Amino acid sequence: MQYKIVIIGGSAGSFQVVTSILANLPKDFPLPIVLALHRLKHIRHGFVEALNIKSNLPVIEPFDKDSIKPGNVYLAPANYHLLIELANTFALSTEEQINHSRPAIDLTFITGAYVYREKTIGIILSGANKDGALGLKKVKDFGGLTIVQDPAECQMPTMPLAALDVTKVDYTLRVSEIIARLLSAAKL
Amino acid sequence: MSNDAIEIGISDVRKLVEVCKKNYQKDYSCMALTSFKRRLIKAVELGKFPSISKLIEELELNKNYFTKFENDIIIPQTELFRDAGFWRFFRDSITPVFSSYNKINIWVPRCSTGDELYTLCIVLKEKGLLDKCKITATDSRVGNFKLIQEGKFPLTKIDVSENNFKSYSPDGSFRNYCEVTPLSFLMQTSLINQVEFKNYDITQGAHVPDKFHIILFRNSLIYYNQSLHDNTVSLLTNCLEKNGYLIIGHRESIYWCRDAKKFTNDVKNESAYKKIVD
Repeated sequence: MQYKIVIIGGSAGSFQVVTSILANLPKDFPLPIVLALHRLKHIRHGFVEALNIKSNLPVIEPFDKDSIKPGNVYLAPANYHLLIELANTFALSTEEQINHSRPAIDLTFITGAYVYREKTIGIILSGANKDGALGLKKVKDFGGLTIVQDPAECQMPTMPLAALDVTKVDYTLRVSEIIARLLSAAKL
Repeated sequence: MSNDAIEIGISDVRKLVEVCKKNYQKDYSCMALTSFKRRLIKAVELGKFPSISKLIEELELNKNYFTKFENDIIIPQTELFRDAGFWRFFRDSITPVFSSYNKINIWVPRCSTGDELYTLCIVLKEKGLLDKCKITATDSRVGNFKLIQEGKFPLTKIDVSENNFKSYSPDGSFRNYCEVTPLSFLMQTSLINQVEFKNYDITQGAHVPDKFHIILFRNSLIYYNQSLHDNTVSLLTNCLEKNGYLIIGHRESIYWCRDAKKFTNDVKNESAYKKIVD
């Protein structure tokens, strides 16, 4: 398979986009999907449940050291950074916030790109700060596929614009096109 | 903090581990690799080294640097009353189990910056149990104890700690337990009167020779590799009284560990494991 993982980063304005993506991918979508989404640190319940409503794939918050498996969607748990380890497992961290965030999108993308290299698909969605820009650059540096949501369609265009500022992103797409791109990438 | 300029490879980590074992009898080989690399990047930045190789050289040549190195790779705790929902559960469901005991023996194996310790003491005090508790707080770094004993926390943590406390106790006030100064806040040190501080490094297999009713060990296992995580859980299991509780972080687990079957997890969403087999 050309690709082995999808990592999606987003903040304000990304919830609807994520639910739309998950509602339109089939149950047998072959790549694990990792969601690095900014979230309220003290809300432990509700987010994963809300994402599961329309998703065809189960959305779970991984435990530290859980394996990354296709068929699952993994949501970064509140108040932890979600790292990806060489053994294709998750590692959690409580180190200080990065870009005022924990989970920081950059950390998931950087550690994921290091492990999955050119087999990474990285997607940056709507958000109000620059978290994820350097992370998506790392995916590009390793030869992975890089996508940002079209800033014109975003509730908060800051995040995709910041990503476009630091790297030559492969595709700038509207949500419907992101879904189509994922479906065709999964067949490769 | 992009860390783009500082690259640390596996061979660098191996070399550093070797140097620390040889020169300082400290074994870092069982740390979870990715988070350990990030801690090393931090040490490179804080020590103003141009590269990890130069840091390793300094460890080899300058014995006085090791204390600063240990300081620089410390994992601070994030905030007081982290996961207020868990502390409500601890207050309402776990403390009543021990309220009739004459003495409650508690171990906090990595007291780090003291956030968890002070939180624990406040909860126990509000339940009227603190005086019955013998709390042992250990850490590999004796240097931590002084700051904890002063009750000093950076002012940057006050807002999050206050918000967490409000979620724990909507009618209470975090400021009843601390005093705010220009750059820090000072916790009431009377809260830790029942605490004994001892120097033990649990990552090297050292443990307090005692049995405990509660072991509070949240968000440390995430920094250990699988082998150390499993071994540490066994070590802690052996230090627990039957019907005692091992408390770990909200997203840490023991289900795959060799001693998992000695525990039950009454409330699935809370990471408090009750030892049912001796």
